[in-house]
Amino acid sequence: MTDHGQCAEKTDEELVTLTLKDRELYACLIRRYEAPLARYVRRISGYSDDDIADILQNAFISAYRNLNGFDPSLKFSSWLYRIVHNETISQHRKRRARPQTVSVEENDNVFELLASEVDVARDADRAMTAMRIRAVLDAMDPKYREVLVLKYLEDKDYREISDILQKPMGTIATLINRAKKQFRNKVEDGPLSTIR
Amino acid sequence: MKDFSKNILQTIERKNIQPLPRWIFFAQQAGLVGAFLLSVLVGGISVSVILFSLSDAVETGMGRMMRMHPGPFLFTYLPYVWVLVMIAFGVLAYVEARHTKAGYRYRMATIVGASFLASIVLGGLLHAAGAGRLVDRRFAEVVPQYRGLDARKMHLWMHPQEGVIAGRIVSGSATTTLTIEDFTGMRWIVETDAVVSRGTIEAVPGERIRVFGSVVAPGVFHATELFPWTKQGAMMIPERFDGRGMLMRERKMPLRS
Repeated sequence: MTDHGQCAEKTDEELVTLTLKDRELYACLIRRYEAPLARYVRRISGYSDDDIADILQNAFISAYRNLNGFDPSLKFSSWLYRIVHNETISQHRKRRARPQTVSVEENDNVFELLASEVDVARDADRAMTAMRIRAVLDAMDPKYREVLVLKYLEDKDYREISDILQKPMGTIATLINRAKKQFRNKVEDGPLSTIR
Repeated sequence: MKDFSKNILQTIERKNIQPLPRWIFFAQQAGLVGAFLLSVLVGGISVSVILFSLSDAVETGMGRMMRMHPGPFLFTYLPYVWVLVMIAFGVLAYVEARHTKAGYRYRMATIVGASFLASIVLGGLLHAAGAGRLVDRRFAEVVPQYRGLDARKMHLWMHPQEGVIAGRIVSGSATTTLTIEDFTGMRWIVETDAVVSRGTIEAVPGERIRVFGSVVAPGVFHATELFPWTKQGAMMIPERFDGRGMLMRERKMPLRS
């Protein structure tokens, strides 16, 4: 197996090139992305760890198979997020039901950032707990939830979100604006505790 | 997630999974781009036939015809089949472009607008080169179900009681009288002593013409305006016929009226 020091010095794109010559180096890319991608899948789907592991395994194998099709004009991370996103959607379809809850860590302070970014009622309680924000995200349309997760929880810029969701940047901007509006409305519509 | 990467590599090895060769991705993209260009080309050909058909309708006296038979006029001169073909291939071009590597970066309106614009520009050039007419006639020859502009026009110009007839010249002169045989086979004596010619009329046997005027007696038509069967203009190919009524074509510039 590869050692971690050897991986750390390489960029994603270099590792892609090296993986095509030596399969073992693919482990570097897997180790680099398994944790953030697992968190991302959990945030948009609320699946269990086992389900997430299955999704990631399928996604990493699919990425390996399509490695020669990686477009260097994209960030490798965007390309990989896209594959994982598509695999998650595919799992949703197979189960014929969308997840009911969005799983978040209680101490995840990015949720406070989300509440601040979308300018939730200034006179309302700004220190929203992760649980309360989770309730709002659960109640949102999936298409709006996924752009908010990518923008505020995964910290992706518009270009990256566009590349992940394969939509024009203008459409992404529109979706984010509508998502923020829906988020605000759901916060202001009533006690968050009742949204769940 | 312990040993996650190891498990994946073992699965890849066990199932002998290999990265797909680069040429497959290249061929896929080349196929999509080629299909997009082909769709634009078919769209351009459709536009050239539409322009050919519409340009045939735009000439002196046609406003009168449109007022007389608005429905048939539109049906004759607006080639619905080609409008549908143009729209269908515009949609196809969008689908193909959307599936290219960078296609998702552009809005639907941008892709659709660009493909239609390209088809319109290409169609304009093809029409100017005479391709619209050739395509229309070729389709009429080889596709039995296809009714080209000629066939559609025949119905529109067969209303003698309403002052319009059309047919092939049998004999006569464009300045005195002409004998013509209309598309139902009926012969007409066409008085042309006070006629205005709208375009080049050679008055040779077999030449097809259209006539505005009125029926003055059974089988006798007093003409006020004569039109060549097909509108002529720069880069158009006027019809000529040999003595046996066989169609010949001759490039003729400029227009002689």
